[in-house]
Amino acid sequence: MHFQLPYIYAKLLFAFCLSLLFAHLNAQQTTADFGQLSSVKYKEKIAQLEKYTVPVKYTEKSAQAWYKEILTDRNKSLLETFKGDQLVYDTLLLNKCNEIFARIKGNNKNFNFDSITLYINRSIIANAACYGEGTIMINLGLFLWIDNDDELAMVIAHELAHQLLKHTDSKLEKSIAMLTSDDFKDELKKIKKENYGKFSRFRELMKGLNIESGKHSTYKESEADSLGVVFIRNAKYNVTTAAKILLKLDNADDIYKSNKLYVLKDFLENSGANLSYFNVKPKYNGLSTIQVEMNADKDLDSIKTHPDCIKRYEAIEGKNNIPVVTCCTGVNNTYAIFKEHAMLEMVRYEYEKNAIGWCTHLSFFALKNNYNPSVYNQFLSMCFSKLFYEDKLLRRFSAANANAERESTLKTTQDFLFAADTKDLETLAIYFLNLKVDSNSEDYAFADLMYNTQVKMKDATAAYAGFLNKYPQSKYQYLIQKK
Amino acid sequence: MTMKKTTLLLLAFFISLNIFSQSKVLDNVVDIELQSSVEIVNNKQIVGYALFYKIDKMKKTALYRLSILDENLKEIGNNEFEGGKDLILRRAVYESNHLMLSFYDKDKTDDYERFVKVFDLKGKQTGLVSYDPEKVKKGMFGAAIAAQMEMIYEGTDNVEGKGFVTVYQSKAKTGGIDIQMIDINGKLKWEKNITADKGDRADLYLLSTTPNTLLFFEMDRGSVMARDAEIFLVGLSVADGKVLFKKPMDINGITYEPMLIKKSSDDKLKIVSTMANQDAKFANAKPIGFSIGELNDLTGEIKTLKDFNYVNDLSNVLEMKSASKSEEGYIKAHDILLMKDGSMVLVGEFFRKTVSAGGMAMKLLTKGNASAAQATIEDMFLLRFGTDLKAKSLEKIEKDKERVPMPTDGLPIGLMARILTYQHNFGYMYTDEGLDGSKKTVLARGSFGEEKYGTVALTIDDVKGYTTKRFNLEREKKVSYHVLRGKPGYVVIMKYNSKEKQITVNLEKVS
Repeated sequence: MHFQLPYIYAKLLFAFCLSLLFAHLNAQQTTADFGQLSSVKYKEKIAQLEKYTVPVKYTEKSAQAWYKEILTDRNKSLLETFKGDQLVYDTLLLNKCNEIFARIKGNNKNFNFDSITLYINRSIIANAACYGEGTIMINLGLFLWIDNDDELAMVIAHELAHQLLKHTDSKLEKSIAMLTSDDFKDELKKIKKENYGKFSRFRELMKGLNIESGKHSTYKESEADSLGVVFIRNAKYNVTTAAKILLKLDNADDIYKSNKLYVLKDFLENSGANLSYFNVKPKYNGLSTIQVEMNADKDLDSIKTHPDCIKRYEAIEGKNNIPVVTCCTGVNNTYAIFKEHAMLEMVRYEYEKNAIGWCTHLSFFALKNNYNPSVYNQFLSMCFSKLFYEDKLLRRFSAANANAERESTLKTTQDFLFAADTKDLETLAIYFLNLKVDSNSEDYAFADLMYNTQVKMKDATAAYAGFLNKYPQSKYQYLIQKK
Repeated sequence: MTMKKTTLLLLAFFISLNIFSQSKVLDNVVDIELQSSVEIVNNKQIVGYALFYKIDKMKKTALYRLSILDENLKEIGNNEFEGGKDLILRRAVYESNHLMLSFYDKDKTDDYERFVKVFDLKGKQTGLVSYDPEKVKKGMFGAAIAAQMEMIYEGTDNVEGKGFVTVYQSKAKTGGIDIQMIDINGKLKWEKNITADKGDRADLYLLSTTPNTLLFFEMDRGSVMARDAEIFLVGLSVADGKVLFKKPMDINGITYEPMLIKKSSDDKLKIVSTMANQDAKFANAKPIGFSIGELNDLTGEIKTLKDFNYVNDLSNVLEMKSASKSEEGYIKAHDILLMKDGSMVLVGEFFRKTVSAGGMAMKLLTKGNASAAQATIEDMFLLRFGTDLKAKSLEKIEKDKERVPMPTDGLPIGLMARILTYQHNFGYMYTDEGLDGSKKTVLARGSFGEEKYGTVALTIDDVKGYTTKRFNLEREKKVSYHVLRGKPGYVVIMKYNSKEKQITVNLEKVS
C-alpha cells in the first residue's frame, strides 16, 4: 500500500495530463486549423537551395558533368517542392516525428544525425522518402496507417538509415561510373551513328542500367530495414509492433483501390439530389471496365512497386504468425489526433489543387470513419460548389477525375461527379453546408462564401471583401488571394 | 536526338532513393505535344482514345509515343517506337482486349505507306500488317474526286469476337478497294480486292460489320462521266472474304442508297437508305425520301418496314414544293434515332442550291471559268415518327445560314449533298446515343439563335422538344480548340496552345 499510493497518484496524474492534452488537441480539431505552407515557413531552406552549387567530386570531366547535371536536377526538383507549397509545417505531426527522431538520436550516439531534417510532404500516398543531403520527407498519407509511435519510429528509422548509409550517394556514384565507362561510351557512339533503330538500342542499353539499379535497390531496402531496426531497438521501441507498419503498407493502395471504403449512396440519400444514376446499368463498356494487369498510369504511385513488404516483415519478425492487419479506417485510437490532422491537411491540399474527385472521396471516407463531421461536411459543400463552377467553365472533368481504378469506391464517386446533373451539384453544395457545420464558424462562412460566389454567381469581389472584413486574419485568405 | 537528356530522364527513375518510391502529384489532364489523336471505336461507340505524338526527332526517323487512354482519359497502356519522320495515326479500333491502329507514312520509311499495328491494352505490339497497293489490278484512268476523298473510301472497323477489318482505296485509281481481315492478334487472315464489275469506276466503302458479315456500299458506273450507275449492298464473309451476297439496290424504279446500318433496341439489324428515282441517280439524283428496313446479314435480304416518301408521308408536317424539295429547301437526312418506345426521330438539315454574288462576278471576270454555284445550309430539324411509323411532327432548330462555294456549276443535288457531307459542311457532327441508350444527343456546329458560331449539344426528348447545351470556348491568344467525339454522354475538348506546344484534353458532359 505504502508503495502503491505514489504509483497510483502518478498514474492518475499522468492520465489527467494526458486527458488535458487530448482535450486540448480535440478542441483544436473542432475547427479546421491549417499548418503553414512551405513557401512561407521554409524561406531559409528555399534561399539555401537557390544558392546551391554542385561540389567538385570528380577530376574526370565527363563524370563531373554527369554529377553536376544530376544534382542540379535534383536540387531543382527539391526547390520546386518547397516553393510550390508541397510541404506543410504542421506542428502536431512534425513535433511527433521530431520527438521520435530525437529519441532515436539520443539512443544511437555512435551515429551522427546532425545534418538530417524531417519535413511533412502533403502527398496522400502512404510513403516517406530520403532525398539525400539530409532531407527526409514523411507524407501526410502515411499517418492514416500509423497507430502508434513504434510504427512511426520504424518508418523514420528506415529513412535515417538510408541517409546514414549514404545510399543516395552510392547509387549516384555507381550510375556515374557506368555512364562514364568505356563500354557504355562505345555503345553510345555506335548508337549515334545508326540511322535506324537508335531508340530501341538505346533503350536496351539503359535497361541494363535499370535492372542493375533494381537489384541494388532491393538490397539497400533490406540494409536500411536492418539498421532501422537497430536504431529503434536501441531507442526501446517495440520492434514487433513497429514491423506491422510493413504489413499495413502492403495494403496501402486500399485508399484508392478498395471497393469497401464507404457506400456513396448512403451519404446522398437525404440530400434531395437525383439518385437514379445509381440504378442505371449502363450498356456501355469503355476500356476502363477491362482489367489491364499492369496499370501504366505512372501518375498514381503505388506502394506495390517497392520491394515486397511482407518479405521485409518476415525478415524482421520471422515467417510465423504473420498477423492480419486492417488499417487506415479506424480513428478511435491513440493516434486519432494525428490521423485527423493528416486527413484535414490532405483534404485541404486536394481542394487547393482543384482535385475535387480526390477531395470528395477523402471527405466521404473521413465521414464514414468518424472523423470530425463538421470539417468534412464543410469541405464536401465546397467541393460541390467548386465542381458546379468548374462545370460552367467546361472544366468539370479535370476537377472530378481521380484516375480511379475499376470497381473501386473512388471510381463510384468519380463517376458520380462526372455524371451528376448541375442542379444536383447545387443541391449537394447546400445540403452539406447545412449538415453539421457550425453556422457561426469561420469555416461555415467560407463554405457559404464559396456557395454564393461559385453557385449563385454573386459578385466575388464584394463577397470576398465582406468575408475578409469579418475575418481579417482568416486562414482561408491565401485561397482567396490565389483566386 | 538529345541522348543526354533522354539518359537523364531514364536516370530520374532510379536516382531518387525512397523507402517506398517518390510520390507524384496527381495530374488529371493530359498535356502533350500532339501529332495525332484519335478515338478508339468499338461497335460504333467510343471506348477510349489513342494519343500518338512525336517525342523526338532523328536524322531520318522520329521517336513516337503511343498512349492508350480509357474512356475517362486514364492512361492504361503505352508504347514508344521509332517510325517515319511524319508518321500519322489515322484510326483506332478495339476488339477483345486488342487495339488496331491504322498508320500513314508518306515517306515509306519501312517500304510501305499504309500499315496497321495491333497492340494489347498495355501497349505491347502483337502484330503488323502492311498494305501493298501493287497487288491491286490497274485500271484505265483515275477518278479525281475519289482521289480527293480518300478518307471516305478507307475504313477500319472491329468485327465482334473475330478481329478487325481495314479497307484501303486502290492506289491504281480503279475505284476499287483492298480489304484486309486481321485476327485479334494482328495476323492477316485474308486479303481481297473488289473493283467494279463493269467499266472503270466503282464507289465502294465499308458500311458496317456484324460477327458474320462485312457490309459494303458499291456503286458501279460505266465511266467517270456516266449518267447512270448501279447500286449494290455487298456482304462478304468474315471467315474467308467470299461474297455472301451482292444485292442490287435498284428496286421497282427506285434507287435505295444505304445510309446507315445499326442495331435497334430489339437487337435487330436496321438499314436506313435514302431514296431517289432510278433513272435520275448519280447525274441528277434528288432524294425523294428514305426507307427503313430490317437486314439479314447472311443473305442480304431486306424486309422493308417503310418507305417514307417526302411528298406523301411528310405532307402533314412539311410543305413540299416538288418530290424532293420542301418549302424549307432540300432535305439532308443525317441519322435516324431509334427511341426506346419504338418511335423514331430523323435528324436532318435543309439546304438549297444558290448563286454566289462573288462567284458570279468572278465568273464574268474569267469569262465563265469560275463557278458561281454555292450551297446554302439552313436550319436543322427533328422529324418525329410514331410507333406506327407515321410522321408526327417536325421541329425546326433555327441556325444562321451557311454558304459553301461549290467547285462547279450544275452539280446534281444528290452529289452536292454528298460533297457537303464529306467536307463536313453540314452543322450535324454526330449522334451520341448516351450511356444506356435513353438520352440521345446530337452534336452540331453552327450559329444557333443569337449565339455566335460554336458547338451545341441538342439532347432529344423522348416525346417532344430538345434541350441545348452550348460549349463556350474562351478565345485566347495562340489557343485553339477542337471538339471531338467522346464517350457516350460526353465530348472531348482539346485545347491546343501553339506557344507552349501543349494540348489539354478534357471531357465535358453533353447534357
